[in-house]
Amino acid sequence: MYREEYARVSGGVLLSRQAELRELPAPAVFGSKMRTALLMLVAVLEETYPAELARYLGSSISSVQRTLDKIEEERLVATRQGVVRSVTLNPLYPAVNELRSLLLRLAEGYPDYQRIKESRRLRPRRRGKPS
Amino acid sequence: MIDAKSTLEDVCFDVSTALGSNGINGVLTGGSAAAVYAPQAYMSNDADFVLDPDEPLQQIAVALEPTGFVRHGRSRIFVHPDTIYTIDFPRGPLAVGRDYIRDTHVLKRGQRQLRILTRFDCVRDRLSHFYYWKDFTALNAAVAVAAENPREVDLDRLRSWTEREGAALLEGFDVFKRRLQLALESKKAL
Repeated sequence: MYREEYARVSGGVLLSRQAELRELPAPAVFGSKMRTALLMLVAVLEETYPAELARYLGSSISSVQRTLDKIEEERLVATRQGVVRSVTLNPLYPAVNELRSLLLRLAEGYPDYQRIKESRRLRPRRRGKPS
Repeated sequence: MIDAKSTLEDVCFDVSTALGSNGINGVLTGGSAAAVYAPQAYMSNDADFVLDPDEPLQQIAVALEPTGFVRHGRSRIFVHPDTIYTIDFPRGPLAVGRDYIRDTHVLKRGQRQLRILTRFDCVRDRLSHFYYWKDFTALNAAVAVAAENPREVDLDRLRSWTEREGAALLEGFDVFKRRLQLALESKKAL
């Protein structure tokens, strides 16, 4: 379910910066919908960080951090602490290629993930420019 | 008995022996395995024992009680009041890059034993950290272990494995090979 702002989509591109989701759909393949959605997001976004995951999952950062701690312990994801905690699938997990393929395949079933990827702003933005 | 004078290797032998006598299969991996194989060239303050299969940490705590190691809070790390070395128990399965590891090595010291990655797998393990994380400390450890044990580290096998992991990683393998050659030359010169 989207917030009102997220519904204002044109050609798959978000028009609003208030683009959080209340609940991102996912099957409970990895124990719970939350864990699976988080893993699918990490696979789709390739590299992300807790605040971004929390925004898309419609969850609190602390809840995302707790889930990340658990799946990092299982070695499915790797996090690196810099200015922010960057999150990727763990390239040293022995089944990382298969895991990535499965997650991306699962994500194909839910257009929201592709929309999120396409709406993500990666290019630089001049400071002070109105959003 | 573990005390302030114990080396990392002493600690690892005691921990591995305690695990083994409780039927727990813990294999020393990571930088600590490299430090055991190349103690002059590489140092580590924490030992990573991968549990394969995974065991409840309460059971590990019971097994390690005679060594003096106790669990640090609710983490997977164990600490000792008389040594700086810590023991971590990353979850299995035991793997190096994409390969699951079935064959390990056992070092013996009297009645005590240390289950550890083979030298070849230790080099692969350190190299995988260099390949994926650009960790030059891990590269140095891989070079040190290979230079100390050149007969057990087949460079052709290492190259084939690297290629299987990903052709893009071969550049990293070339860096490793060049550094190893330099290390072997300087060893010869001594």
